[in-house]
Amino acid sequence: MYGLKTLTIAAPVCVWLILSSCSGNEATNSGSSPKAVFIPRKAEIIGVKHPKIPIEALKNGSGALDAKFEDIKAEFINVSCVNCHVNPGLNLELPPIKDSDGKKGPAYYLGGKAGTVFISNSKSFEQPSPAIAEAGLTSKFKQGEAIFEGNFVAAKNVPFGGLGPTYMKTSCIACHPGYGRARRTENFANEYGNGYIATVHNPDGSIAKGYTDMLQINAVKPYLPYAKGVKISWHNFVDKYGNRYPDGTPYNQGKKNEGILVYPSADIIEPLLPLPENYKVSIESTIGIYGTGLLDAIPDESIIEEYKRQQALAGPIKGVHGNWILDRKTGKKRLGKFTWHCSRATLDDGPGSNGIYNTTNVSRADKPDLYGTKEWIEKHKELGIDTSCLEKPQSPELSMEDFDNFMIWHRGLAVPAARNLDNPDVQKGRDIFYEIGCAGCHKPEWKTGYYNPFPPYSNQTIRPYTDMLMHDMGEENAGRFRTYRTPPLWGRGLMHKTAGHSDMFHDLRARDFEEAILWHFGEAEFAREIFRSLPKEKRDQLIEFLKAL
Amino acid sequence: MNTIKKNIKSEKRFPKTMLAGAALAICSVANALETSQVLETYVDNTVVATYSQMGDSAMEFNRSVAELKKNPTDEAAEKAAKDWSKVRTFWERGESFLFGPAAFASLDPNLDSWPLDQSQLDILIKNIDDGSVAIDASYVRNGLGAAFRGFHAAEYLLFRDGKVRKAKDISKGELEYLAAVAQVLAEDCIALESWWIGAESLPETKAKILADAEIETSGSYAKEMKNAGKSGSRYTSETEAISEIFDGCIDIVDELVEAKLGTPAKTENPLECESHHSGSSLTDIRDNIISVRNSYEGINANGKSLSALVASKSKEADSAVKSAVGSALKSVEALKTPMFKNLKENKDGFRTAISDCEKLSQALNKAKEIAVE
Repeated sequence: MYGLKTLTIAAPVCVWLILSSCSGNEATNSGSSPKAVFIPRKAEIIGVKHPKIPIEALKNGSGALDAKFEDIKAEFINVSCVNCHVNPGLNLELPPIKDSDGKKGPAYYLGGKAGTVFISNSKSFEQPSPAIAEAGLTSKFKQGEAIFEGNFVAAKNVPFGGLGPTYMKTSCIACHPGYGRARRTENFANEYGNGYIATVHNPDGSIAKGYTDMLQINAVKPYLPYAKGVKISWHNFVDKYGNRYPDGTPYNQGKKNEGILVYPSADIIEPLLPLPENYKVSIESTIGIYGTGLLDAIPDESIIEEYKRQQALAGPIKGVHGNWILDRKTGKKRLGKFTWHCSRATLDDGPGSNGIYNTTNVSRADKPDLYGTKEWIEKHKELGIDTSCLEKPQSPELSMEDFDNFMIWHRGLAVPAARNLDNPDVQKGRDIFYEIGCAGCHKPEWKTGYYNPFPPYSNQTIRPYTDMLMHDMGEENAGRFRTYRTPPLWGRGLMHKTAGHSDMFHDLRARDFEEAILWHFGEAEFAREIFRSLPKEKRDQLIEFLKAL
Repeated sequence: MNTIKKNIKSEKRFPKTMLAGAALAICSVANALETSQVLETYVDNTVVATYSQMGDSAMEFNRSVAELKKNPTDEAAEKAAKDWSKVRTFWERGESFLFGPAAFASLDPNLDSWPLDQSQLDILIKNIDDGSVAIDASYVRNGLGAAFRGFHAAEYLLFRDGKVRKAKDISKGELEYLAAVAQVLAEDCIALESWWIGAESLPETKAKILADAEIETSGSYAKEMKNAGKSGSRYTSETEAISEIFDGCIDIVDELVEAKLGTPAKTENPLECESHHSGSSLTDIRDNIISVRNSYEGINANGKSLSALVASKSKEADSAVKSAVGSALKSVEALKTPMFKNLKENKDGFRTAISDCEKLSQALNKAKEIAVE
């Protein structure tokens, strides 16, 4: 097994590197000089020899003795702090890059042996996992894929029939180009490639009365959509450093968008129903589909264990788990872990199984009711549009055979193997990934439990680089909420090949890895700060590692 | 890594004088095929040549539809239908390379979404006819979803029940809609060509059409693929690019098995036959197999084809692909056309054709393993 040298040699007690410049300063704990330092009382109580902290590191500048980790400004947190306040309890052992035969070792198998395919081209996210082929499910997988790619149409009792009465898109693939994540757009009406969903909500994030969770802007006549459209605007963002690294170079140096970061906002166009005075519209992007079956196989108790690890640490990372949600299939409560807000617990009740229904309003035996609201029905009655046929359970428009194949496809989409792990820059980047605290949320490794829906996915060691928990990403990223589930990083380096873009983050504000890191605020701002302070060579190495995933 | 490539690298590494002494040892690779040559031939002679002709024929189709709109006669309808079929042929012969721009620029869905949303389309035509909707290319380009444009919208307006419609049956609104769809179809075909060859290499007439439609493309996918393994290409190795070609072929063959042949055979529902309005489902399928042949054996490849690359490692694997292509073509050509009217009659034929396509998929997978090992 490979050990991570920089971490395994780390001293058991943090050393605040920044204090080296303050080492001669004998300021008292309660001193107010900018150069004054203090040691947190709690460290002394528990007998930890804690390095001195400059007073100027405090957000409020007072109460130093009782200061907690969250009182420290992100820019004062450095790699030594990460060792004691982010990484403890994480498995820092790195899997071998080569196996005993000299072939590609476990480090490459991001989706475990059962779920990894070795492919690096435009079809990288579209492959059946080895377990699907071994189980003889390839044909059903392909039939399910046809459901994902097909266009639903308004007529009933025809192939792909049953679209509407309202809908967002006519197909699943419209929002998942290359089977991955959507790309950014200025035009919400774009059918293909644009994977934004819009929510109309109150300031607390609850959906505005009368609107559906996913705003529907299309309708089959004579019905009316909830709104005519969504206006997306993009705004420049300049951070407190003027979008420059400490070495003076601008962010995105040498790119078309040198020195520029942008983020979107949204508003509703011609809403059908009245809106509260303080309504907001937020947009969120689709998430990749590949590997979700393996994420589904992570035991709830393992996620809770990781949650407890984070909560127990005196540090910046405090992930929150999803709610316990009743699973209709088993009658048991399961932990929410899918979607940006962990609002879905299992894949069978997950974003895909709901998405094909919510997006198209195509009913099926287990989803017989209209995806709509009573306020929408009432509005139509008010306008003299007959809705009587919509107010009762709908006859199935998608057969359960088709849906079952769709779920085989969904569950069986493989994870592409990592690449170039023997490249020295990639290896250095991997070390930096741990050193600066990325692994605190982007938890590299999980072991799947027994997975009843598809037993071959049981007991797999997978490396998705997510903790399956939600984190506060700061006011800078506030949308419907400020918290977002840590997105997996596996396969991200292939986005450009699979879909011709590398747009990332909850609303696709990041155009590549560099921008994505620079949009880390809130709990993750410390990692952004350490990244900023790295020399360019090391920043590039970290990105090379991410590209290799 | 393939052994031929290794040998070529050796040749480059040593000075000619040293190589002279080892002339005998390397004479077997003196005429060896370089993977880069295969990629170049594939990109230029198969992909770009197909898309260039598709662009030309789409412009011709647009002109013939404009003529039909101006002077709606049966002859003009026949001409437009014939031209539609011609563009369609090039498109279907491109279905083994739907990776890259066809996918990420959404040109595949915008050109070839299936099924067509016929009931909503009928309402739209009614609205054009009664004057409540004014349609033009811009409306189709920016205002209509994929299920209302592309090949199948044009097909529905020009054909019914496997035959070309009579001019008197085509309403004024339909003609206006058809003209708008034909123009956008031509723009999309040209955009695909432009994404591959690069906007700067596009002939002037085509460049003007894109400029008028405010369609911009960037980069050249052809260059990226030919420069696989070099800086600026998304393909980090030539092997990756080769795997892309194979996967493109395998994808369309699997689609024939599961969808284009498989679903109509299983359901015996004529509505499941893609292109049933024109009755050209089997022509599509035949052209798809020809597309695989063009990708694998090349067009005017002069020995620089994927086939030659595979044969240099395993003649058996290469012969298996060629033979499987031949069998699949033969069994599809033996099916009774139009497919949507002969679903029961073709029952046994479907079984053979699907089985042959499955064998072709297996042969391609095997050849791919050998080519990229």
